[in-house]
Amino acid sequence: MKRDNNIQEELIEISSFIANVPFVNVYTCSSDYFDHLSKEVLLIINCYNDEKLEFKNLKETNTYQTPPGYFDNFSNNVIQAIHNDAKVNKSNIYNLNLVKFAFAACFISLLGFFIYKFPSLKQNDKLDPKTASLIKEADLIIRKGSFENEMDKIDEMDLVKYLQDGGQDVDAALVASLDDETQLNDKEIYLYDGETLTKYMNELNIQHSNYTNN
Amino acid sequence: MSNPVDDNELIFQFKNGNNRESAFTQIIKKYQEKLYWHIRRMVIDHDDTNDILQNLFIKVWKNLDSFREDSQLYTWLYRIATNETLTFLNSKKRKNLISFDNEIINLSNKIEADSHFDGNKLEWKLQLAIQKLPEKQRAVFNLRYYEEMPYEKMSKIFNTSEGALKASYHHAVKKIEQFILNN
Repeated sequence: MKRDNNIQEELIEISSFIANVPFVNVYTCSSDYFDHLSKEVLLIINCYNDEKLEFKNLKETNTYQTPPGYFDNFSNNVIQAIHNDAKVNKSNIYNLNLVKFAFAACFISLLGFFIYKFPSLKQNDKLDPKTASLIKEADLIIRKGSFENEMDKIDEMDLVKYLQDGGQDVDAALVASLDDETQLNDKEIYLYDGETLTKYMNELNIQHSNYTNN
Repeated sequence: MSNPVDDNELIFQFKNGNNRESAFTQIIKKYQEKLYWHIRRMVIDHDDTNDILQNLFIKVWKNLDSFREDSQLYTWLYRIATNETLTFLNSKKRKNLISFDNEIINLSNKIEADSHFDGNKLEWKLQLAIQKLPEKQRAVFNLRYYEEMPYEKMSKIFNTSEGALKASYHHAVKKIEQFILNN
């Protein structure tokens, strides 16, 4: 390889050392590589053109058909579907925050029921061990004020399953929890109001303290 | 041996569709070696070079109809080759999640794996030094040093001023000199 004079002079000016490095091509490739390259490239291009043509023909041939008048009502159907979907979303059972509140409401109701009933049950000495254990555990939760922590320990899907399988006792609360917020009546609003709920729990605590003092 | 046909004539034949493949074959034959070595010096590996070169000519086939003859075919081809090569190197780095330093090691390993490699020879040391340069500077150095391309043409390929290219080449030579002297 012979170097152009101008390039060589420029290189000598920058670095005479580099200018004296042998000007050779150190890399090699097979001797017939350049003989076949153009044929290979054209082969690929022809394949590409064939595929393009095939694809174009495929695009122009529509093998599928729609029912008569399908597109006439299509936009109306879509709008209708959007409205329906919005309604379903508002009452979705898997809206887990509402489910959690529903479960909390059920739990509190049941807890309250047992606390109010406990004296008479104790007096009659008819308490079975399972119920006694449940009451004892509930009592402990109230004393510690660890209701939130206990709720957090429960898996949300378990709550959903419990509410779905729970039957009559939880139906009312569940239905209440699924209501649209705008349709809630005054009696049920406490399910969504954290402050009222806390107040309600505090009241329970006071009443429980009164009972223990007695 | 017949005189090579002028680029404008080849483009005219290609665009008019009479002898499309024949015109394109002549374009490939005219530029294949120059473009091959330009790419090969950047990516080192023959198979990678072959892939880039084939893709390059496929792109040229697809876009030659819309090629505006206000720029030279030669410059246009080199610009595509440089961009394709830089894109290839970047995508390889992203794919393998390797840094610039690791990429240098990778390319250096490829050079040393060459069956003709001789670490004592200056021309091989030069190759190792070139791979230490940042990719764009490497392309600038190769085009000036090996292709002996005028700065004016290089400025059209890189879309950069001639002054900036001269400075880049100057720094590249100095870096290479330092590397060889220290190794």
